[in-house]
Amino acid sequence: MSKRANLALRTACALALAAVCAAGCGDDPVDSEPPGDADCVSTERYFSEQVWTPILNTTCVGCHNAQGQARDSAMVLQSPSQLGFMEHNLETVRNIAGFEFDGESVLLLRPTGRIEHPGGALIVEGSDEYKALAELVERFNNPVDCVDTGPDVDVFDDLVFLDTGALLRKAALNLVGRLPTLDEENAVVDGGESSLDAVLVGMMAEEAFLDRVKEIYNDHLLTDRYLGGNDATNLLNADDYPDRRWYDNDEYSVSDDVRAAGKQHANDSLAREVLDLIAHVVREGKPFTEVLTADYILVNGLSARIYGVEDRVSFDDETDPTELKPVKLPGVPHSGLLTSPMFLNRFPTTATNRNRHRSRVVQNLFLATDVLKLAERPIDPTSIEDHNPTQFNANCTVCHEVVDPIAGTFQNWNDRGRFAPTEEGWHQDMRPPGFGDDVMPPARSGTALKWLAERIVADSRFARGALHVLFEGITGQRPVAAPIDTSSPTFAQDQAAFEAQDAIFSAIATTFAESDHDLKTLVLEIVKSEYFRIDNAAPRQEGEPAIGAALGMGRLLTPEQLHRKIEAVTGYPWRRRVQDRDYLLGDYRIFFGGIDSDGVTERITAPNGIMANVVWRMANEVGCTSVARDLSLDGEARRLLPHIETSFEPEDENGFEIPQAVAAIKANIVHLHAHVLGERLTESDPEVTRTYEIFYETWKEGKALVESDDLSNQVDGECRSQTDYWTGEDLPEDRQVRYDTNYTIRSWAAVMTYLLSDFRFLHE
Amino acid sequence: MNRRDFFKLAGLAGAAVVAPRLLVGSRRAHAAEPYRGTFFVTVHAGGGWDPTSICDPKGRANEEAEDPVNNYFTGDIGTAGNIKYAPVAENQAFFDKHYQNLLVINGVDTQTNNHDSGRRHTWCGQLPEGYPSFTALVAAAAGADRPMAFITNGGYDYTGGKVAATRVGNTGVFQRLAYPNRPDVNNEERGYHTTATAARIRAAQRARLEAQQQAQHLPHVQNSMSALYTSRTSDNELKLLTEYLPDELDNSNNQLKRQAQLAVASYKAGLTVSANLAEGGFDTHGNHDDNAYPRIQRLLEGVDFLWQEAERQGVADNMVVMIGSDFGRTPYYNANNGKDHWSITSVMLMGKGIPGNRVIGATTDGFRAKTVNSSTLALDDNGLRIEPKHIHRALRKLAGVDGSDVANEFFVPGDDLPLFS
Repeated sequence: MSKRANLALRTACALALAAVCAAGCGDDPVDSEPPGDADCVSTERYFSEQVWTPILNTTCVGCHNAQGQARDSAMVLQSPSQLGFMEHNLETVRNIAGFEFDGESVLLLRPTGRIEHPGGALIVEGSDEYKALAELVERFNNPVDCVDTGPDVDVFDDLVFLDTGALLRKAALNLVGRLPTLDEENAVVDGGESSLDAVLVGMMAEEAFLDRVKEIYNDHLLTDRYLGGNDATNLLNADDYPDRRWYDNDEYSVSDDVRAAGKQHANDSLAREVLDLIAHVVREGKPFTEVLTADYILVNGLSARIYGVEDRVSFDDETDPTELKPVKLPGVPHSGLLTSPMFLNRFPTTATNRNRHRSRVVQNLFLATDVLKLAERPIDPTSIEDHNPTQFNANCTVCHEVVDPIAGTFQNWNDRGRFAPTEEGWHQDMRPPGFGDDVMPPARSGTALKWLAERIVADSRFARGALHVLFEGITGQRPVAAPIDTSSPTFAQDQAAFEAQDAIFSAIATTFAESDHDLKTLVLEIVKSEYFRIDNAAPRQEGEPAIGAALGMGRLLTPEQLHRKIEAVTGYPWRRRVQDRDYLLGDYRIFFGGIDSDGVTERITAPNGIMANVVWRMANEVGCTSVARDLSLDGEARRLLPHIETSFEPEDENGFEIPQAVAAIKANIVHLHAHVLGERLTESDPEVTRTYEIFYETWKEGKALVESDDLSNQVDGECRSQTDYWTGEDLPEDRQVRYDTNYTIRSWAAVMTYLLSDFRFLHE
Repeated sequence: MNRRDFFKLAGLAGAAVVAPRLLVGSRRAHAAEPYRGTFFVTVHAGGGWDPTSICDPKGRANEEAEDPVNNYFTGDIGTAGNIKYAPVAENQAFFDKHYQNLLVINGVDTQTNNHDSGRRHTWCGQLPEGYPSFTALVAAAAGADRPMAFITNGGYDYTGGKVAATRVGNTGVFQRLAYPNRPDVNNEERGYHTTATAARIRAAQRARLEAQQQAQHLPHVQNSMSALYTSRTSDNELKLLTEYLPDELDNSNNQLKRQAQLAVASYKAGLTVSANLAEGGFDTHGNHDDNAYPRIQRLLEGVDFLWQEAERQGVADNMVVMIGSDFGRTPYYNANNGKDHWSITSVMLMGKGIPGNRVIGATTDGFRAKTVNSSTLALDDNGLRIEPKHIHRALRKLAGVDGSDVANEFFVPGDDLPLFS
């Protein structure tokens, strides 16, 4: 178990013990505790496993929460997304249990309907749930006096974690799409983990990292849907922004170079304004809360003209789409991305939806709250006879209590994302605009979203929201959900896995919040967490639960990640010519499980037959082109083949091995396994032998075919290196790679095809 | 990670630890056989359709009738065989053509008016998260080793990790993927590698992947390795697909048609067990009639096209189609002439083993679900409401996968209704 998980769980146990002691252990010092008892179940663990999970979390919390129907009752529970929710809920229930009626605890009377309970009789007297509540009451009255050593589950037991060097490579590829530099590797080798932070922080100063953050957030915000054409500019109201398509208007007075830049970049600058704001906040080291509270938008010289504010802000180069400046639009009460027309249009509303969709998205992204989970229990809307059921019928209020107040804070923004306050104000047949119990003061109605943003960023769930988004983006896995099936044979393990992650997440979220919401700190904590570092597990015996292993990380790379990794490893992107579109970002993006932010918004994460063929095509094309290009360089400049020359053949013409050549070939194979796959092998490793066999057998076959004129002695035209890829200029004759008389070039291409299609290359 | 995910992973871990080679080997051995079982297709009307505008018509008595369910008149409701349909869009053409093969189930209670929950409930038979769609489940049970066993174009396509979902993008580059070893797809003489070298690389990959799998004990990673192994059975199969694809895919604005062409071709090639077809735009909170009717027309034209394509490819006799949506829409218009969410819906089924010209279940004039007798399916005040679970239990039996491991793992409890008898 990791130190942090250990610490968190021990802290939880200590808190439990403290709670128990406070209720009746007297003044016995902790040092005098008896040894741990494997059979002991603390009240906290009992509450967590037998009461919270099967009863409160499934039956009660839907109403008994801060926004729910029972929010005014004495039992207001917290959801797992809130820090310290278990301790809070235990104490809340303890207080409730202390109230009695005719000598019986209210905790038993209300849910069985024996005294008034607006939710009705939900638990049958004598049922397992009832017995669990009764035992909890008994435990409150007569605290257990043993020491709980916790469930016999250690979620991180027997796991193998990446060492620092491997972690550095994985983090570099993940965060900035490149391999670590030699300096970075040396720094980590010399300084160990203590220097890892500095190296990673250095990486996070690169634009590539900001692109990665934008990519992660676009998976949720999906505003890249508006890239291209006039899809973004057309969203703006022509009356509000008459020059929204200035670049297409011949009567608009502007220089030719600015117009040309506008045609190329203006729409996309607008489309990217939400993601650019996120990147700006991170780049400038501002608190991440500013993505919601920023009282400005970001424009470049091209999008400034769209908004008609080119006179309010100056640029060093107004044709440069990357030069972004904050500016306030006249009459618009900015509140970060919440008030961006791109965000508001991507999550539009209708006259009857009344901003509820926007409320849902905001809660999901920034409050770690999935309101749709609230509606997973069966309801029967067709039985509703109430007037205004979203306010008064439990079938509806279960969600609307949570959704509607925040929806009301979007009241000034219409379905097209235009700032258009109405004289009538917000709907009177809905809950008033607010945040939880906090009703928005009427005086703030003009700046309702600013009011909302202030509350969101002050809520502890804001840190959790960012953590969930970044965790999933970086690791490819969603946070572990609390188990609900206590009859499951792995319930204890599942619960332990959830609690361990909850403890780690709590610690990370706290660190993030204490850093003044510095997103780089959050990413650093995720990368250094157990979840990012898990690499393997010890073999498990048949029948032994694989709880720790179930937490294994790693994912099939997204098209964007694979695209970056190809260039990081080979030095060249996978695209035919410099001016062409990258294959994995264009033709093959959807085939390889990617999204288009429009109709396709969910990534496919498990390989299928078509994806396998995308990989074959990539490995064949990149394998042959990268070998030829690499061989056109001098040895020291080569990334892939620094140890060999094309003349290095494994055998002489009489079939005798050439030891020096074989040694060089194997040394290069060792290098390739390290460079392409991140594997540190020795020349005697079976995997090196396997790869060598590919080279050797291919060479032997090919050389014979060339000698018999059954195969050309030239590299295929697609794979030659005769021009500089980037400039298109002819290479000097002595650097051109065209002939392959002894078939070594194509043999190395076979090796590269093999490695580029390997699981370790495709999966991080 | 939910419990079922964990079960899956833990189960895989056990299998892999005990006999990883067997796991891989068994899939490989089975992969050579093209799938020739029944083809299962679902057609999803995304956003929540209005059954009263399709197969559960509720008209307006006269001009004076207030708060009508629909603007069309009751007297205009059409009939095709035993099936009534709404006199809107091009419904008449569809129902007249297909009623003899069409089973309509009305009054289906999705128990939610939430899009995600409703979509899930309709297509997996359970309201909670964690259950694979029927199409994913049947693909997992009947042919998970096929490289394109389950094609999805949207709708609900959660797989439970039991089968790889395949999504198809720009079909214009399909040839390049079908012939990955050819620099020029039209020149079969030239390859990046000789045939022997390509085979050598693949053999080495398989051997390495097996070795990696034996050395790896994280179920999550093992699962990924296994999926990669399965996906690489052979690129010949995509070549087959290109043989069956039409020279030009439909280029109309009805995406269902393109989806149908590809799904049917893939099934014809023996690569595919099931497919999700999907069309959105049914969430008609405003101007319902103007917005919903064109969508309904496209939906039914898409289904009709699917059958035409299946006929053309000679596979229509071995196909089952289910058409459904997130839920239904309110039996009244809102202030914007739209209709909001309503938990009662219908589904339509067609194809092999589905009795046609039949309507099961019903709703009241106010579009509330009526109950049916669980044995006779006759309307019965003391009967039960039809829920998606009943349909899915029947579908699993129809597909012959109700006793499969994956069906047992994702067991759907409930009464067995003789829906397809």
